[in-house]
Amino acid sequence: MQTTIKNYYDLEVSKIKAPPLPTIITKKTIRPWENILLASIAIFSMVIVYMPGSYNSRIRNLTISPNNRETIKKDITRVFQQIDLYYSEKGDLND
Amino acid sequence: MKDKAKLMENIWIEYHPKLQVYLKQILPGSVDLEDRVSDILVKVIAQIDSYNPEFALSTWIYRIARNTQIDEIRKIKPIEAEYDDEIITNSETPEDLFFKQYNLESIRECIEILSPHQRELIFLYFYEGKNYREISEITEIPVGTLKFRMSCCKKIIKDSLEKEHKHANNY
Repeated sequence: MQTTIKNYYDLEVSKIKAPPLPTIITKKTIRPWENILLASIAIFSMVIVYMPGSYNSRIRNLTISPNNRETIKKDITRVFQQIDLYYSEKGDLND
Repeated sequence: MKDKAKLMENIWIEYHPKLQVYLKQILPGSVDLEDRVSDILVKVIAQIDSYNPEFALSTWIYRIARNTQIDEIRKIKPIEAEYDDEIITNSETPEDLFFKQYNLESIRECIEILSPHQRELIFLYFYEGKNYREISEITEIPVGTLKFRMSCCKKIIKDSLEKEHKHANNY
């Protein structure tokens, strides 16, 4: 009985072919160790950025002395004048 | 990683046809079996890390397939009991010689008259060669009940074949 029924089911199974394996299965997924690595890189980057001696920290803590204030003000004013001049000339050309 | 990819591919190729036939036993006349089996196997492969090697891989896969299928059925309608437990029979083992005289077409006709639950049992027992304990793991039915149902199945198949044999002799 076992052989006969097994033969029947063997025949039924052999009639069916498996479709191609979906790419979602073969696609590489992120492994746990990769997660740890990515998290470590993120933490390391934040430490570098917020470290007291870092460039970003120095920029944030930058104080302008009263002597330099006027010089910076003049420089910025000059930059804006240059920008105005550039766009006014460009506007003339377009006309 | 490479071994795992190979294992996934092997599972896919080996169990896709088997699960299609298995689900056909549980739900005769169901459509989109290929898509359904693909969904089940994607689920199996996604859960492969939770596989307990204490059990056979096939037992685990059939169990997931069965549970997924039952969940699907429950979404559509409540499960109806289809067991033919009222058939009382003595535990008897039909002889192989008796079955050898019948062709596969006759066997197919006999299997088709069984209920889905009986067909599932026959498939797992005779085709997959699972023992009662393993079938119990898959179906969550007690071993004693499975044995009783199996004796019923064997009797139905034997009676059906005998009937067909007599019918053929009359002509």
